[in-house]
Amino acid sequence: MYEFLTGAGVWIAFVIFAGGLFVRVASLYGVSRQKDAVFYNHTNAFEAVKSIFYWLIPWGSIAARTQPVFSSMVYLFHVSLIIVPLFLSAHNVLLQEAFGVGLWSIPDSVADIMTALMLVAGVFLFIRRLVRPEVRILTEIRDYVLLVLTMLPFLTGLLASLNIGPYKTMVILHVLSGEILLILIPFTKLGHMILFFFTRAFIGFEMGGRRGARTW
Amino acid sequence: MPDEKQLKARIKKVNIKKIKNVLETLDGARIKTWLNICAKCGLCAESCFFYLANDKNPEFSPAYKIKSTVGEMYKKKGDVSLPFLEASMEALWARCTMCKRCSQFCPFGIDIAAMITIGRSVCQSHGFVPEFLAKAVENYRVSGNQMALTKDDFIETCEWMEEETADEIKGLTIPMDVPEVKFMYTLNAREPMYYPQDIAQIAQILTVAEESWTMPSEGWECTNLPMFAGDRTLAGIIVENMYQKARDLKVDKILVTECGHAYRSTKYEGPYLSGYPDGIPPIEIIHSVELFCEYLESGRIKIDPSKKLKEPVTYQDPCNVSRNGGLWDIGRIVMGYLADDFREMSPNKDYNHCCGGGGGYIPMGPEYRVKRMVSGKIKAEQIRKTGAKLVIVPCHNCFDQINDLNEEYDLGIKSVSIKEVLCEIMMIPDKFKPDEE
Amino acid sequence: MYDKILFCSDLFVSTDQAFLNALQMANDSDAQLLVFHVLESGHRYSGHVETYDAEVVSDAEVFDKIAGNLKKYYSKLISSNFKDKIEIKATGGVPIPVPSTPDIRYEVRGGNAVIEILRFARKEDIDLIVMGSYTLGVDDESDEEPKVEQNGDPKVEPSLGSNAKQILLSAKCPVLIVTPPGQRLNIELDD
Repeated sequence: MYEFLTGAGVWIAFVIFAGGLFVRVASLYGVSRQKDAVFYNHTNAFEAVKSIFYWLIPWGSIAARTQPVFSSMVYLFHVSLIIVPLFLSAHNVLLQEAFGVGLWSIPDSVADIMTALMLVAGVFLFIRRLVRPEVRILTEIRDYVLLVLTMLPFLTGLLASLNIGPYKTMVILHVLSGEILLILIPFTKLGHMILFFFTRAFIGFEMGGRRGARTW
Repeated sequence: MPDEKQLKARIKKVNIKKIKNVLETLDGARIKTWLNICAKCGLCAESCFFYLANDKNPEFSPAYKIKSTVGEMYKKKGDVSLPFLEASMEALWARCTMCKRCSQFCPFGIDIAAMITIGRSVCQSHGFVPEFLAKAVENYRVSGNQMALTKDDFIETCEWMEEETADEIKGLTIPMDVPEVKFMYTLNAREPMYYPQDIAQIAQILTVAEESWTMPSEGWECTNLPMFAGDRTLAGIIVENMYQKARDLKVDKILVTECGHAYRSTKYEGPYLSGYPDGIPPIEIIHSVELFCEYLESGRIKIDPSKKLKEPVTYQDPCNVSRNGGLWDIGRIVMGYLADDFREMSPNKDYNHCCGGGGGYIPMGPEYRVKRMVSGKIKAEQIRKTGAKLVIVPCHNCFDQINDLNEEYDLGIKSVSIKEVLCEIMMIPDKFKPDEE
Repeated sequence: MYDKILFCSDLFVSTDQAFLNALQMANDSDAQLLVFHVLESGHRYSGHVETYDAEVVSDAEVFDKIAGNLKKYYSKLISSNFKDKIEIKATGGVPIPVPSTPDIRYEVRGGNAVIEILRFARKEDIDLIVMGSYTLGVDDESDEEPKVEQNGDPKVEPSLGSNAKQILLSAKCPVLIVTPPGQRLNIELDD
């Protein structure tokens, strides 16, 4: 089990993740060239960058400033979600062993704190979904499931790192949930990890480029 | 309640194929992406004045309006019921003015208004369109304008206004179908119908500025309610009528009256609707506000300093002139010339709230008036907070809505168009002053 | 003296006197009398005329029907009033001959009353506009309820309606405002 998950499983997950995202973006690009061709006349790189940039910096958008607590949580959530898996020393050690190269690593204590914060933020997002009527009305079961699935690798990783619970089981769950998450990304709303840039660029063209209006 | 005629117009049985066809035609990569990646964060709710004015009822939040209508249509691949279409009609017309403010609040910049348009097209395909709006669309179909004015009526009104105004500005004419001039003026059908003085006013301004312009005898209608009624084909024809007339007259530019959605239609959406592959209008489009700004800055129109407005004034940013037209700064330059005590609403400029009359809401008529007044609460409060006595409004829709809000919420204000103010306070050069008798 | 006289009907009995005066003047001048009514639109966007409470939506058919009703009503008014009332009230008892078939045309339009009356007057080259003094007896600009006399008859205080005021001040031809005898204001001078 462990061998499969850490061997072929990783490969399968990454191939589906990368391939799926690629196919999704490529097919959307194809459709857009065919059906939304007219919009390509209004492309504007500067406006696209602005439209993306203001939503990447903390409280850069009017919406984020309207709900500062929520947007802070979202920010924590996403920053940890990207930084921790990429720059965790344990992950990089594995990369080093397998390919002889690894990324720069952050100290484990920092990673633990970030993971904990990410989980707090995740719980906050979960509760917010339940509590705020305008969010609850939009939420379906799968939105809760996806949120939990996103947090699961982090929860199990943190528990393993802190040696809480049966280590071996935690690691297996960690790898398994991580792989499931990767596989789901291209096929769910989590695809926004890539598509975010496209939709933001589009609204940047339409509202920013053609009208000069702020989209943040 | 819809009357019998309207019910007759509605299709009795859902034609799934037809709905599917509409959905598929309009289903681009944008729609596929938007419908899928919405994170359901609910941030759009706070942007929407319908939501804010209706006690934060979550059913009024932009994302829910899409989820419960267009989202369902795509999910069920067109297999929807008549009661569903009825409910969608309510959500798509009575709870959205397509002001696009939610797109500014969406982390993914989802263009919710663009999706509302698709929903409206689906409802329209089965006759589910608010009655008065449908009647206005019928007028466009038979006459090319929303009031079903005949060509003769229009020309006569222009002649009438020329006579009326000759007493005030010497040598004033309203040129009709003069080719190769700089501007072809296009207007809202309610000007010849209900407010012919608007025609007199623009003629005064253009005469004093010694502009080269003409009124077209056809293709003068710049409003486009079919665009808001989901009738994309007719909407394209209306815009094309105007472009064609401008080409026939070989004018440089089309000048659009103080109307919001007319500008959005002629400059931004019209080229899409009438199928210009580059998405750009074939002739340059100028909004009246831009021209007035140019006149004031260049001194072609001068304001009489003794007549400059003294009372507190605020400026209504029409969605389709400001956020969706990019002219908010231009509007403020004009205000600087017109008023001593100018006050901003909050939020304003491209972040401004819709007045609640846009997107076809005002033309939906008395049937929806109560709802319109409820949703207009946000705008009424915005205006009240400025303490302004005069609201300058470069849009016919906003004008009507703000007048109604004034009554409903006892705001004690008056709304006026820029041209009305200009005509009152501009200096008339001696050569245009009528001879002493 | 006049070729064309325009009588603006507001569909209230209180303007009957104005109509009779208009008819009499048309008769005196051998002029055509145009009876004109505007269906006021409560909202000014769709180009369709409807009452304020959105009950009636009018189109060409409705205009024709109303014109027909106007004709019926005023024809009856002429036959029942001309011989006695008008001779006594409007002419001070001097009998005037009435043409057996007075030249009257009935027209109905939709829109804003002031604009449509002025537009129509210009188009038809009208020499004189005749109107009643007020509509419902309530000044359009005030919220006052119509006054009720002690005997219970809803006798309203006459006032110059905002439409009449506007027409009076904007028309290119003379305008005649007629207040019916039973409702004339007592002479009271403001200090």
